[in-house]
Amino acid sequence: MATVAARAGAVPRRPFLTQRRREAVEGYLLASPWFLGLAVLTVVPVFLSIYYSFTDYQIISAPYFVGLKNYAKLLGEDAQFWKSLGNTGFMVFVGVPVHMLVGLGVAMLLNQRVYGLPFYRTFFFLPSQISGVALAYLWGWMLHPQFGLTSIVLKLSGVQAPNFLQDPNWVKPAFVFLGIWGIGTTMIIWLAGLQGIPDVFYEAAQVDGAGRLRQFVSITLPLLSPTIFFVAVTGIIGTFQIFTQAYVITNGGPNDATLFYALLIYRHAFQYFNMGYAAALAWVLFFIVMALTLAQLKLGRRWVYYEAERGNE
Amino acid sequence: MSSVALPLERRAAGTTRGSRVLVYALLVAGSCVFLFPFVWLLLLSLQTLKQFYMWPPELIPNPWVWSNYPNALQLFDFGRYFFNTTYITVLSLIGQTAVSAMVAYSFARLRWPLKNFWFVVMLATLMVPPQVTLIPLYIIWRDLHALDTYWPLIVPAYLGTPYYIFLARQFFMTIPLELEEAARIDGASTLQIVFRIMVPLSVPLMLTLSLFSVLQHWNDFFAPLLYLNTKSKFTLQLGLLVFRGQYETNYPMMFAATATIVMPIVAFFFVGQRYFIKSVVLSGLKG
Repeated sequence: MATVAARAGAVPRRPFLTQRRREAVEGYLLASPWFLGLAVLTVVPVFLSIYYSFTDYQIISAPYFVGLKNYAKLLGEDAQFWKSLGNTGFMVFVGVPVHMLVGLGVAMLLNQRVYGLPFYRTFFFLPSQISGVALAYLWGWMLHPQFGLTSIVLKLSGVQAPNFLQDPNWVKPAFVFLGIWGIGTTMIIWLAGLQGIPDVFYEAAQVDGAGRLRQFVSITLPLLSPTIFFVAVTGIIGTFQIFTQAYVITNGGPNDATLFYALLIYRHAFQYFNMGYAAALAWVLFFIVMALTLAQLKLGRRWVYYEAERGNE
Repeated sequence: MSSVALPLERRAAGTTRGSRVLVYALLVAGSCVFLFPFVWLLLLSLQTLKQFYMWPPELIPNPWVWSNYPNALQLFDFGRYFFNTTYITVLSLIGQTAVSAMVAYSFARLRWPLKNFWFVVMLATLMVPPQVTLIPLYIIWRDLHALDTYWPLIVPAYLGTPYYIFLARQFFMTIPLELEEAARIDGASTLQIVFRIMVPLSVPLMLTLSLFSVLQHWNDFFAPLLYLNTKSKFTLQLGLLVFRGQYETNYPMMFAATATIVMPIVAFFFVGQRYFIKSVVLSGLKG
């Protein structure tokens, strides 16, 4: 940039330079809150967290360096670590696909020529905006063995309902089931993706005599693949954050069946005050999420179709 | 990113009559399933405890116990928690939107060295899971003697939120330069340009960001759980926890309290529906 300024000799030089500089100073000034945030909310905590993860740090005493002990312990001896990883894995590999499929199904219904679309869209979207303890109470009530909505519906149709909240085999599927109630957000993303597919593709396919299934497989899925990719990646990242429901409704139980990863970190950090160990857990989480995301990116190159890339081929 | 106003009502072609009936049947049934829990929650919150425990279950309250509401709200100090939550939400909303717009303007329009590098850094910070920074942040706030205050809940809003900055930057870049140049010639300062020209020209974006911010802080449970200890400082979500255990057997009361917290969101939703949906579409376009 400076060379450009120097070369433009005919233009009055000094004012031009100062204006450039002033703009740079202003740019940094306007962005300064974020720079401060980057330092105090991200960079410093990240380095501290790396350091803590190599220490024995019971919050009241000073951190004491122990090398890789925390990592060795969680990988080697901590049964709860593996348990919570398995629980979270269930939500990732069962919950995420179920929610993706239902969300896509609803979006495809809404993408038909339907009257009153805004109403339906509202109804399906609304529950996804409820969260926190209020949502957890709703879930807890719906799963209650005697007065819960699910139990009542099952009982009235003559099925003996399992005790969802007490049975380690049923509690996670029950969470996945109730999670369907929150698909509204992804449904909107699906809908936007579906509406981005030009009608002419379907019209051409119909002229060629392709059935609905064939149209779905050959047109909808490939053209929707960037959306599928996005929903899958964000869904998995979000799943590792599941906390409130497990904390409020089941507190990790029964028999650690809802001890999800975020809850395990919370317990070590803020109930056992084992900051060093919790930091190590957090870093393991970071690498798992990273690995999953990179794997998806890599796999995604094979099946995700970006229209804009066609020109490069 | 220019397609912020995505036409959500676009239609697909080619449907037979039978399948149309099926589509409507599924949509109506699905809507009922999605809405029924709300309706039932409201009805249960107006029942007596005795009626609630009856089998087979009854839907319509008999009698209608409106007093469940004042009683429940008294039980958990609703007025104070409502004030606390509103206080945190409003202060965060102001900071988060104003600061993010300011930073976004710098990234969208001003030229400064290494800008693109820092922009990539900003996007990279989105990848750091919150758990990684959680523990050091807690210890930093402890060392600043700020535990059990609202500082840890509000201050981050004034340090720019990367995701908001990203969305605002993308939006600002679609606004034509002419207006700004005219304002600059008239002697407007950069801050004036941000808040007098860019922000008013970005009403849909600002509403979307505001919505994100309000929902995030109104519904937040984790940060208050971590940082607040004194009961009188609790937020609504945290206050609602009293019903766990202690009053758990009194479901109608608990539902009355739950409904009171959920209803502002529902009301808010019906007023600002368009922006709720737009906000999701925006976040989806990120990928």
